[in-house]
Amino acid sequence: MNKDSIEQLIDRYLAGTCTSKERTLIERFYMDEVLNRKLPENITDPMLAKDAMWQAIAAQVNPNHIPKKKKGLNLYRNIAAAAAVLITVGLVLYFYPQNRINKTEQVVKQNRAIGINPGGNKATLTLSNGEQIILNEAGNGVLANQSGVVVRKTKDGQLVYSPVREYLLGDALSYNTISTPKGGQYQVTLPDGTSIWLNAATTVRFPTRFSGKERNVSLVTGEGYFEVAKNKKMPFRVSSDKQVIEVLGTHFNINNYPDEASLKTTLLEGSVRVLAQTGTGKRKVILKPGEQSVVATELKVEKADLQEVMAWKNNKFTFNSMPLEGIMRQISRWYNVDVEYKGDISGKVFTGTISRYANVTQVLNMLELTQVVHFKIKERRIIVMP
Amino acid sequence: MNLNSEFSDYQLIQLVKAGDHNAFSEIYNRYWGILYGHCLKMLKDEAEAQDVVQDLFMSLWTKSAELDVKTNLLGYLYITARHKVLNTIRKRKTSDKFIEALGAYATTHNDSVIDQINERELAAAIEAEIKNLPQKMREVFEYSRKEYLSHREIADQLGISDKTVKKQVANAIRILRLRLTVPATLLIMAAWYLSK
Repeated sequence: MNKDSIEQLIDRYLAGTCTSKERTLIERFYMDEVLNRKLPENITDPMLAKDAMWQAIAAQVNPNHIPKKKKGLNLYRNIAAAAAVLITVGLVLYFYPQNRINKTEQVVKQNRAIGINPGGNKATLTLSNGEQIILNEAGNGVLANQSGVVVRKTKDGQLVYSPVREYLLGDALSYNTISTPKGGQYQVTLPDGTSIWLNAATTVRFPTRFSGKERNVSLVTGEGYFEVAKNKKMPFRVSSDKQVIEVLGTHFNINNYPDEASLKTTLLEGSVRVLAQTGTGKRKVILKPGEQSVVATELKVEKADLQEVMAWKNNKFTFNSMPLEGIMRQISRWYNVDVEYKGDISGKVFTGTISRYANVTQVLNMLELTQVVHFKIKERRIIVMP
Repeated sequence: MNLNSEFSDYQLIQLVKAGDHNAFSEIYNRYWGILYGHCLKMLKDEAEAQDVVQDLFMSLWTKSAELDVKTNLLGYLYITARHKVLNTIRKRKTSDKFIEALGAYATTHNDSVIDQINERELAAAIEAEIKNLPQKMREVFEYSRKEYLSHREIADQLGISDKTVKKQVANAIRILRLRLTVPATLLIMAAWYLSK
């Protein structure tokens, strides 16, 4: 065939108006060329080309893109963008039209999740005289003055204790208790500057003023993250039912939920001594940053998965090969729902991260992506099925 | 390493349809090498090859709404690249060897019956191209491909049924991902469970 007719043939192909035979001819020829040819020899560094092309693409795709001068592709690697990714996955599954035929991808319908909201800053403060204040309903400002220690709600979710005068001999030692419900969380700053972040379903008890040789606080139940103010003269102790932790000044997390198999203390910074009462007697150990102690029948020390342990305080759920049951317990506490299991999904583990402020359906959809588990929601009950 | 490198193509398409820039950049990371290599080979001109690749990705972004989520992403990109390559060749002012060669081919094959190219052949051609790419251009693609091909993607590329692939995987394989600690730590991973 001559050049003109070939050119016209190609034009027809590109326009989609050629015959099927013609199309096949062109595509076959093209494929032969593909298989027979090799990459040209003297090409400039392809990585430079990669960058250059991306610059042009990104400029079109994202008008706010600022061209980077240095080598190496650093594509949208910031936290805010990554957070958008997480929420987006949930949203896409959520709103994608139902015309997908694939029955293994079930989308949990929104209307079954009405009334199930992620948790928020909720807690109840019980003063030394027994008076109870529901903190999420209280306004900001001074809530109480107990023997010269003022309790102030500084903002949503934050409570601060500050002594306004020196300790006097006549002052009674008074204890306060903060309790978060399921679906609650709160932060309190103690009179020495120590901060405690309480997760859902957690109760912490502490004195309104630290005086004497030690600072004693008790994590009655639940999970708390502590940043302890340094005071070498007054060691800080946290007691839970089976253990006492002694610290000087340090950051650590204690997980003491009744429905978890063990009492876990994870150290981030500083140093703590754990004194535990186990089934086999008293044990003690000193933790280094990155380690955690696990108290059940025994006291064990293991390397901690800090991402996973601290996720809640960073407003996330993070699971690294976590059994489904453990994940569902966290979901139950934060969304204040019950969990029911139908069928056998024991031994399945999951890895993933999602914002704690995502809707429960988004979290469940993320888990369903694995096609290993499926969920139904009935009012405040989540049913878990293979 | 890009945070999204563990998403499957299927998931990336969904995300790009929702306007996710990160997912889009991951698709670029994954396939730029294969597509650029292909265009270089066919056009023998770096500037033109780069233009085609840029064009390709820009239209992927702008036309993402029209994209079916079940699309074989690489296949789609490859076919679009072919189209744009032909377009570029066609527009060349000077006579192109490609056109001459096509002319010769058309003459010799005028009377023969030529089979249409099926998916299997297309996949095989892509495979062959990838094998001949320099390491750097292949890298990200191999990583993501090996680990995250779902049943359907394997089946599509091999032209066999979903069920056959499942049977061929003798034991249950559980792929767990422990992500490296990266400050952002925001990563979704699906734990793939290939069961009997």
